[in-house]
Amino acid sequence: MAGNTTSLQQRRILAARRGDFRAVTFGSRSADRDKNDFVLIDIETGAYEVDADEQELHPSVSVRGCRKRKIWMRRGRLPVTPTASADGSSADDLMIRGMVTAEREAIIQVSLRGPTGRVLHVEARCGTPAFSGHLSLPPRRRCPVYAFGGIER
Amino acid sequence: MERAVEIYEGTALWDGGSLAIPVQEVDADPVVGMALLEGYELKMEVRSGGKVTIKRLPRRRRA
Repeated sequence: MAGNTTSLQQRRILAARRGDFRAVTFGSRSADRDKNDFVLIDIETGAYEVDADEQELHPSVSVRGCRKRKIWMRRGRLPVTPTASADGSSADDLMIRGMVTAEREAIIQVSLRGPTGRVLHVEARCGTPAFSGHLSLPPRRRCPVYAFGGIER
Repeated sequence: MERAVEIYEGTALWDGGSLAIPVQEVDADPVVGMALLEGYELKMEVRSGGKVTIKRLPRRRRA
């Protein structure tokens, strides 16, 4: 079921953030069209990106499978698009799915598009009334979104 | 105490379209604020591994 797959993928990303690399295995369920895709994960922020060419993913990655700047790369698949689920909701009215962490925080994936058209996915907490703005991101040194040109000053 | 906050312009893929939003640089994990959730229903199962869903709210009818 698509919802379960999404949740599983998010759990794997959270596992990557904890440093439990063996829990992150994106490749086994890849469709044919995704076989050449790679997933690049920042294990500090949980942000990840999927691209067919790993050389395009991040300038610091030069060797397949290497780890630099605490960024980890794995052959992977594209994020799952929500579809109809058992509770009667459909893809038309269900916009985003997320999961609740052990700390009882609601985590969803937010996609940001950079000026070059590249899309990056960031895991973010939501439902915090104390923050009345739209979106907050950590400083440049912690967030790869800036490096990818995802947002502009 | 006032504190300067860096604000960037970002394009979020939200609700099937692109949305230009202000993005604040804060020394914390990413947070989706209430402004982005305005007009949506947020549901969460408050337990570890629980589901979170966000749906667009129907428009209010005039009385």
